[in-house]
Amino acid sequence: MTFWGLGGPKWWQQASRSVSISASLSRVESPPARADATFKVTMLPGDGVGPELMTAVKDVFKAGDVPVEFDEFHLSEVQNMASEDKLEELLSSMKNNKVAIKGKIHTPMEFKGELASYEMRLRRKLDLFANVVHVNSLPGYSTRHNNLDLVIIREQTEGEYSSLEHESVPGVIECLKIITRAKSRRIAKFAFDYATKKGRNKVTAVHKANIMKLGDGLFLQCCAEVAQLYPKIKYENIIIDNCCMQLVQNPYQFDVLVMPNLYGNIIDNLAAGLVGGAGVVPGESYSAEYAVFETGARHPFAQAVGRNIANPTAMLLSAANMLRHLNLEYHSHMVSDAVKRVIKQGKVRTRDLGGYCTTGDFVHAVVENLRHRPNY
Amino acid sequence: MAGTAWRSAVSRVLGSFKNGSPQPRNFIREMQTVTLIPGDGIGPEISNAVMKIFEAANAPIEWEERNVTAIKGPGGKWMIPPDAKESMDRNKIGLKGPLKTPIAAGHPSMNLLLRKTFDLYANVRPCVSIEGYKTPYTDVNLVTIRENTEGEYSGIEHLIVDGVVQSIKLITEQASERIAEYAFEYARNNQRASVTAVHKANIMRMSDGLFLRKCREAAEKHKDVKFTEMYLDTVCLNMVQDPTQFDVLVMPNLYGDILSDLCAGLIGGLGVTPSGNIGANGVAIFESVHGTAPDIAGKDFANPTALLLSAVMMLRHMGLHSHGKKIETACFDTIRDKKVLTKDLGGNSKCSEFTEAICQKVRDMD
Repeated sequence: MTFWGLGGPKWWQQASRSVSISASLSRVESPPARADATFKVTMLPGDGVGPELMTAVKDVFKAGDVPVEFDEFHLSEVQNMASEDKLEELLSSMKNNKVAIKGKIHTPMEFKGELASYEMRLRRKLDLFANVVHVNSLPGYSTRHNNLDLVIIREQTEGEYSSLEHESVPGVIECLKIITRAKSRRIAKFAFDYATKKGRNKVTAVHKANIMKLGDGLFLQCCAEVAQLYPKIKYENIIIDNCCMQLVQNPYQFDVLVMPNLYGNIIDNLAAGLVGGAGVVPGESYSAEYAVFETGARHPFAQAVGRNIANPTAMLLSAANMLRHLNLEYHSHMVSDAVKRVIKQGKVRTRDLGGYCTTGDFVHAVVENLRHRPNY
Repeated sequence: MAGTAWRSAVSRVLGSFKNGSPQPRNFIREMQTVTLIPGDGIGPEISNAVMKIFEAANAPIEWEERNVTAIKGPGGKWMIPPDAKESMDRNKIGLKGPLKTPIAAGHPSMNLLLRKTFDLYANVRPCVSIEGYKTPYTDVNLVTIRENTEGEYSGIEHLIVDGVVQSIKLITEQASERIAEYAFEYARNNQRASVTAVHKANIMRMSDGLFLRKCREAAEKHKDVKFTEMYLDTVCLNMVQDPTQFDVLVMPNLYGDILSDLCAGLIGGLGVTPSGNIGANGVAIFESVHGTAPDIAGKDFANPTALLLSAVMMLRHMGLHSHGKKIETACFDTIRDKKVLTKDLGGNSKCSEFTEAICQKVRDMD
């Protein structure tokens, strides 16, 4: 495979790719060498331990020679680095790159002027309507419920998070929850398409239509309508409080769950807790054109900043998912296998999984495991 | 806010706590009347079980049975029968079994009617792990206090245009203040160390912000109880990993509904969870939160534990701690022995046998 004639940058990167191609011939084809060899991805470290997690991702990518280049942006409401211009810059970068990886932009509780936080506005401007969280038990780390494999799909642009609040009379506040047919249908279709694509058997809609008869009733109706277009996938529905109870007693009865915004927030975090916490669950947000990769349970974890104790597993697994989205299958497997191997060996574990290692130690262990790629 | 009757009940409870062990008071032989609402389905069986156990324990309780099936009052409004209302207003304390809401009956759910009639603003659910009924979560010992009148369940919904629906979540200063005050009073009366307010004020900045402010104000007035605040998602995340870090949780309606059911799941489900509703004017109705189970009604299969534990909660509320402790210990011992258990607890016995075993244990304790 010639590499001189291709021009472009980084000939040694082409060289390493040709080597890696031969190494992976029996497994997965890595993409043919391109003129601009690297993919550009927007990176938004966010607040709290976000920057540390992003450093971990960058270190692992560098060690693994992953052909991805990051465009970094620092947007933060609590650190006073937020403004309309920054948001615009970020959006134009996203429109070019189409793919992003981000940490959590923390929302302070006091609000000046606008009720919607920057994170919500970003989501709305990019129309990231679907949030997908993969809840998979990690082999080698046992919790009260093992071998879990759930997917939680959450509508994240409307519902309770519409930021429409007003004080009609002093002491009486109304907060509006908006449910529309168009968005409910869209998320239901997304859920069923996702289930079909990934070979899942069942989609369960989570709601509270016995109390919120019109709102959640509409959501449920849309899910039922869309379900009829997918006869191969079983459709069920369950009330949110019963769902929470079932998740802690028997989570194996669920497969793919779809729900409006607030319930999604609750169930995401509940399910993350079932398999090991916010440090091990990856997630992503999709719109019709963009994909943003992040952790499943979104917390800035400010109390861990600077102490080097955050668990980068979730972010690394999400980065691996991002590589798969970019069609870099080989690199994706390389990163996720390395992370899973480190967890399985159990020697290097961060605080939240019961160990004493630092973030740096964990990243080092992952990098070590990258070099020992098995030849399948 | 609450009437004098409530305050006297609180001071009675406080009084018994101040002395450490519950002291026999002069009027311990005085029978207190409690309104009993057996309910539907398995309701009558489990109510009978509870009455039998109370008799065996010599609890000074006289039961007044009433039916609360809704009737249409003057003016066409649905209401509970006047004799039930009069009985509750007189006795102030009630014990309720499961009620069914027929789908096409035309009237709103009975639970909603009761809530509106007696202004039951606080729903209290203590969740304690039951020794002998194993779940993956051991050492759970927390209480969820949920605001029960407003919030997301105000029932105010509109169809704006075709395909766009709006639900209104209502948060008022008075209701938030009332529930926060109650939470701290409860913590103080039951010797709980801390109260945690659960909210989502980072997203619903004005509404949950108001709720949180009221909780903070109530915390200032009750400096002896520790106060923390936590986001709802963080609570869910931590609850399934380590439930021992929580003590008393206070929250608005929807979060309370979800979290209280989540906690019930941690200890074994609705069949073993007690629950109490506190209202204005000193009214308190204790209930079992499971369904009417029409498929096993009348067959002597039901498990009376939930109603029994709710009745124990009621005894504690009334200040009859010794009787409450006796019955609760007998119940837990029976479950721990595993010799006589109903089907849902993993055994093969009938409801009557289970009841008899508890009665025997209670008599043995005297």
